[in-house]
Amino acid sequence: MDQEPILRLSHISKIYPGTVALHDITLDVVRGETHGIIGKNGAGKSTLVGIVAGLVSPTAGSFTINGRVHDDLSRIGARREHVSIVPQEPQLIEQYTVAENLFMPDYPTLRGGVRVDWPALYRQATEVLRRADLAIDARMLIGDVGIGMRQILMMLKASYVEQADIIILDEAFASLSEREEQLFYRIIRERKAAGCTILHISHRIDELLEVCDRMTVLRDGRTVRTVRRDEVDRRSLAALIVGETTEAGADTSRTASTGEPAAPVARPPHGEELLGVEALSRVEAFHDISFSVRRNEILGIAGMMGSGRTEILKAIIGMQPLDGGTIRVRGAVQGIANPRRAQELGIVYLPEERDAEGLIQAMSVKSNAVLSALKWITRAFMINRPAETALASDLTRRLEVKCASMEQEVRELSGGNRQKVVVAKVVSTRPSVLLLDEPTKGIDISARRSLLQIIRNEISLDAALVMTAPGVEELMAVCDRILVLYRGRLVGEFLGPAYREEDLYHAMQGGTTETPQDSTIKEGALP
Amino acid sequence: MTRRTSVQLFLIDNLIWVLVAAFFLINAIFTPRFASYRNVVNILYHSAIMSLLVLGQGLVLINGKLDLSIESTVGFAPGIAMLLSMRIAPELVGPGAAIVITLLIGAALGAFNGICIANLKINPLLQTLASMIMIRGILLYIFPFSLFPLDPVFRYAGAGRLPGNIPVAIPLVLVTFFVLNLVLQHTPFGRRFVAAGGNPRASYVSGVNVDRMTLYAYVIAGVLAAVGGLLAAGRQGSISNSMGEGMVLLSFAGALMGGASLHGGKGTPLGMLGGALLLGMFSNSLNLLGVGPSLIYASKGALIFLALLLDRSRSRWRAKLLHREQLELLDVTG
Repeated sequence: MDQEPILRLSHISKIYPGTVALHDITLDVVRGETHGIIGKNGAGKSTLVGIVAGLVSPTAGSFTINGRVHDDLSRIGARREHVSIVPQEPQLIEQYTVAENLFMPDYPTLRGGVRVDWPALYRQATEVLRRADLAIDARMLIGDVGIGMRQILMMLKASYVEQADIIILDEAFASLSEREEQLFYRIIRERKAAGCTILHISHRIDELLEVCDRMTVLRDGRTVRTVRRDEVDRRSLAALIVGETTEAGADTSRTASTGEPAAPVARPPHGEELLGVEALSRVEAFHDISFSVRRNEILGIAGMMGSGRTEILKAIIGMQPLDGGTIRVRGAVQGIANPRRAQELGIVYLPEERDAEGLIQAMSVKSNAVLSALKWITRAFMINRPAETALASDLTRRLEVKCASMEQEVRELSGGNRQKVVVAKVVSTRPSVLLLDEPTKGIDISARRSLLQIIRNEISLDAALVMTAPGVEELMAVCDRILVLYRGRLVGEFLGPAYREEDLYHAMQGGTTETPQDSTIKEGALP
Repeated sequence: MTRRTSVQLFLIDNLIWVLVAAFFLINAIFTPRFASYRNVVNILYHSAIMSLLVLGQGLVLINGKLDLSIESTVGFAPGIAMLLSMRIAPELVGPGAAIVITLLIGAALGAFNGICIANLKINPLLQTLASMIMIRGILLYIFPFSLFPLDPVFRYAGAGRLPGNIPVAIPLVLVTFFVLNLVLQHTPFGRRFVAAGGNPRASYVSGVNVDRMTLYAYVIAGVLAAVGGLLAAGRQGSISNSMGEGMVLLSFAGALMGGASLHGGKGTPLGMLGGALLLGMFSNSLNLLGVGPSLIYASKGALIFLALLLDRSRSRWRAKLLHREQLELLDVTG
């Protein structure tokens, strides 16, 4: 492009302890364009825009905004450069009104800036709301406003209050309803027409194709390519994101993305059904979900963030209410009111927030590992030490937990090993159904590989296992079958072991316009 | 919103003043002496020092932190200032200068806490525990058991009287509360301050200098504690090295009853004034009833418990009211 760039990143890197989030990123954003940044989870999208918005300090490199060079920028400095961000989690003050949140920290004032001019504040806020045809009262407390609407308010704040030249949308669409999404698109188009530069971060291809002029694809913290809107379609963009050519065969794709070949150990055949769900639904979360998992089977549930995958698992174990549907455990219909009841039925759930919910950081590996199984190692009200040691060493051996000794505190372990301790804890109760919610979240590649192998070869034996993952590669590596969820509905079922990542990715985007030719998909043939 | 709901919401939001009024009335009925002009002035006068600590603690709580060290500042700030004025450098430091130095010491101690907490990210509880012990220890080391007589100028704020025999301390404290209330409710600075406590992350994204707000909270708390020390010294006519001891826990009671929350972002100075007055009326009333000091101390513990209970119930009642309101709205609209 021949226009001057409003934003230029040169050789930006960001290193977090243990991971390289961004590696030598160089990128130009032209004034007035809507620039998409896309990539899988963990590709570095949010870190990249966090640097521009003044929320993250880069480890190396510099960036230029409006011709001024910065090595690092505080949030206040970024505001001075007229950069605003609409983050994934709307950042608002619950106790304040809509109007106050829109204008904070720059209030209209009286008496030379000393006193807040409340009437003017509400007048101006109402003005801003009217510009977007929003029918909400400026005096409402943010605490009473829905999550999608909060996101829209953040956008209004960036657009009409801060009047930013560069607006960053960081997965801003994740929590919007369809109607809110339309509204959001309208504001984006209006801003584009007004000459704003927009950085649009997403992992939904459709969203980007809808509004972006150009898109930069990130993969593993590196820029893959910057493409113009007219150069790509859904399929070719998906291929760029996933990182392999369309012609690649299924088996090689699997090796390429995880480095792990198909199951090296022969697994026993699937047995009887252990868990079956029929027409599960909850308003605003998921609808008409039916599937069944058998003994020795690993079922994957793929879906973008907000597709409802976590909600379904939580509903099965009774952590969240259901509006309809039935759950069968070993053939018998059961009502599961709470996680305790689920545990009695042999169903355990590995929550997403593991460090907070799964581990007691200052306790030893041993104590953590046996925590859920205490009743089996207790004799006459006392913990039987030999039994405890035996159970813990069996678990740590099977799960390959690397620690100096079982007496080591878990907080001293690496992320991957901490994860394994949590999994050990879950497995220790010998459940018949395991629901693992993103078991590999937040751990590095080698730990991920080893954990996936353990899931496939150890803990799924003799049990039915359902797992989710932020990306599809992990599911492809271990699952016998993958269900694809899109906006709370099951939209596809794929049978392993030969998957094509692109097809899965396409289905996760709600892709139905071009029907994939692959024979492994059975659309509409769900149980 | 129906009229009934808004009245009820108003009462819940100003629960502390409802309690103050109720407590006052009950006492006035059973102990006629309680409502006399002299006793009311007496209550206000004796609440003055504690209410400044309540206000300081409350501001730090609004910021989402806490400050244990203010009770040591109560003794340290006037103590060091008067030590300079009376023993070390009497020719340089007059009583007027000593007042200024008292306030500066309060601000400096607050700034020390604030910098350690905001910039070094030390846990507020541990940081202020450390400085509470440190400040008290230094005071015990360099300060004689007690220092008197104090200069009348230095004593004026604590012991002076206005026409009508009203102690200077009362209008001083009331004005402080009203001014800070105005600042927090109606100036951009105050709104940023409260926002930074309510949701630091969101405030940071909006461009508020959150660390700076924390620093201000501790500096203001330090200065208020120093003023509290000034009043205490003036009232007693002497400074002792144990001045302020044991006051910090009750400062929490007052602030929490006044609407602050340990999670930050909640409470107003006027609410805290109510909390401080309730504390003062409480001990005054028990005094009049002839209850011994040990039992008064125990019942103040009960008062802290009551404060915590109130904090929990308040949000529950609010939610219940709003829920009922919504249900009624649904009924009306079909």
